[in-house]
Amino acid sequence: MAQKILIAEDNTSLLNVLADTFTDEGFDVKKAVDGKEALDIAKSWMPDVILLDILMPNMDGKEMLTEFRTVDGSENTIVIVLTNSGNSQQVLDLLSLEVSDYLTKADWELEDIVKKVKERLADR
Amino acid sequence: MLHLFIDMKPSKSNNTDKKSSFLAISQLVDTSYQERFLKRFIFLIISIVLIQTTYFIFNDTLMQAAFNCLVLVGLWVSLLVLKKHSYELTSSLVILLTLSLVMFSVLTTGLGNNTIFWFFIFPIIATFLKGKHGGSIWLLILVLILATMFVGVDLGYIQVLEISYDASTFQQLILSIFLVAIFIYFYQDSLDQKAIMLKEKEEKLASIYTRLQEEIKRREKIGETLEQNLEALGHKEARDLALLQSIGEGVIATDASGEIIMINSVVEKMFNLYEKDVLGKSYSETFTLYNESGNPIPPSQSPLRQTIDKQEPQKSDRYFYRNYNGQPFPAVITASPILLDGQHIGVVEVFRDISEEKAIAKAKDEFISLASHQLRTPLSAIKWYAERLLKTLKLNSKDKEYMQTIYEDSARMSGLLSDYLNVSRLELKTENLNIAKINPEDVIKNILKDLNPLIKDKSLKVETKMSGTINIHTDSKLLDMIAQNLISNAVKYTPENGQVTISLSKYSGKDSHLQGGLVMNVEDTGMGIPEAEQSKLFTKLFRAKNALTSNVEGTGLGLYTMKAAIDRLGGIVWFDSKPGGTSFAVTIPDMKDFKDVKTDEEE
Repeated sequence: MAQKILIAEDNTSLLNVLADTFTDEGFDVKKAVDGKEALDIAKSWMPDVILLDILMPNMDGKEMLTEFRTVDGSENTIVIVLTNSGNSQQVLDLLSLEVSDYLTKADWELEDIVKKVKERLADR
Repeated sequence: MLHLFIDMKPSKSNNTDKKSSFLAISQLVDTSYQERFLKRFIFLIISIVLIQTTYFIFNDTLMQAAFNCLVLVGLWVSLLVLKKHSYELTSSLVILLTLSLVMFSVLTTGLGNNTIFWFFIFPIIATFLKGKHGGSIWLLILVLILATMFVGVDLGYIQVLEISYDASTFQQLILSIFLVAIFIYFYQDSLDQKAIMLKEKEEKLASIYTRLQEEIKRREKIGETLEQNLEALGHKEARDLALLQSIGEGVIATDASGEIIMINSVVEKMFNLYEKDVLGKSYSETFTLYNESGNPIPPSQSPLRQTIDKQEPQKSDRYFYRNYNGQPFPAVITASPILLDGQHIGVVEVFRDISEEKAIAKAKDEFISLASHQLRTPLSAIKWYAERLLKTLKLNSKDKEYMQTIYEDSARMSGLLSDYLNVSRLELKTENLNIAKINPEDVIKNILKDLNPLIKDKSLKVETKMSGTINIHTDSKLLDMIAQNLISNAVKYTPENGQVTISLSKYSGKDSHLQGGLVMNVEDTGMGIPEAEQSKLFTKLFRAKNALTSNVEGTGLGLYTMKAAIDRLGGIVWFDSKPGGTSFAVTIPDMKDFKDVKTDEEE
């Protein structure tokens, strides 16, 4: 059974290329363009992995995650933050919300992101 | 004869010095003495003549009374014309008049009792008026005249005259001349003594006068120089004051003990003070400096006090003053000792409010940070799409090369932007340190894993030496940045088949002030850093000449960022480089008990 991955990213270019890449890798992919949509999908669908952007309209990544972590069973979901902004304080805040990785988009290749996701799933 | 009379006056000009002052005084003293005496004497004679005239009138010798009246008029006129400058002439005239009176008495009345009186009086007057020599000579002249008259009468030459005399009168005459001679003798003595005393006095006065003159001249000279100096000083002071007031920076001057001797108008405005109110007050009590967290620093730490203590110029941009509103502002402070003949006599502090500069720097860095961030998203898209296309498209070799170029260049641009962001964050210190317990070995392993393709490509031998298990409390992101830079540089700049050695060890603090920590040493067998450029190694955007021509990718931000990160963590970096190898060593202190200043502030 294919692993479920939710990609929350307001920039559609990035969203599409990530979605296509993970689809190609055999994942079951759902896309969200803002925090609110991401939270709704995450709650109903309970994905295995969420790739979460921080700066998003309606609800930012941190708020979405805070809300989501209150849902039963959400602890099984691996959350990898994928952003281009952020500082150490933000990282610290998010780590307390059980974020497994904090990746900078500009520094990461698609291939490595896929690798990282697979690694985390294997560790689970 | 007249000539002789005048010369008879003992001339003071003989014993005068060349100095005119001496002459002036001697004349002045002499004149007043003679003038006073002359006046009194003429009054005395007038009264005597008056009595005689009265006597003549009562005895009905009207002819003599009339003559006496003439004498009285003459005396009165002489008294009137007796002025300071005519005393010489007056003296001589009086003597002549008296002499002619004597002669007239003798010729008209003979050597009677009446004329004896004049024989007695005349030499005394002469003595008083003409001094010792004058008196003696007049006495001699009188005796000679009398002798001539006697001889003339005796021999019959003077026959018209009937000089009647008797023996008693002659005896009286001899006696009177004898008495007058004695008087003149003693009077001469007293006059001599007076003259000596007077001379001494004159000399003393003269020397005092000379000294006074010299003193006056000296003072005049000093006065002139002083005036000139004062004028020059005034000019200089006005210039300095204008300078101090017109510069836009605060100026505080103190003496060597730290008491304020001057503040300029900028300081007055900034602190709402008046110079007159703070003069003489201690600097430390008047002005307080604050550190970044808003706490006052100890007075001894202030640049001004440091300058007094160390007698060396101090500069600081770390502290804040608070203006009259209590609003802190960052200031760049320069304190310099005031030197006078090599002696430290005070300190001048010049400071400037650098809030605006700081705000501009901050805005600039924020702009860089924001711009880099905004650029990152589209760049990530380009990079990721290129990456995907490279994989999925079946391209001919040319197109593949193009695609590869797009991918690599966008990746390099992403890297550059990340570096810029890191630099600006480090420079702005916008981020707090996140101290956690870290095993540096893991950090090294991760970095080497990323670099593995390149290491394999160049067939490098990479060795990691560990001395036991090391754990350190530090900021993992910064430590990663430091290790990443050191190791990737070593790998990048070492030619094929070269060697990179990474060694990790602990160092222990010697005392409580020096904490223990980690020493990381990275050695390579690369091209080395040219000696001439070693001093610029840690400057922004620096790349060594041999690195520029070596086809190795680089932004010139790596070592700069690394240095900033090391500084942030309180570490030290040094290196040794020659063609054929470079060795870097970095210390990272263990920050187990660290509390970030910024974190404190936020709480």
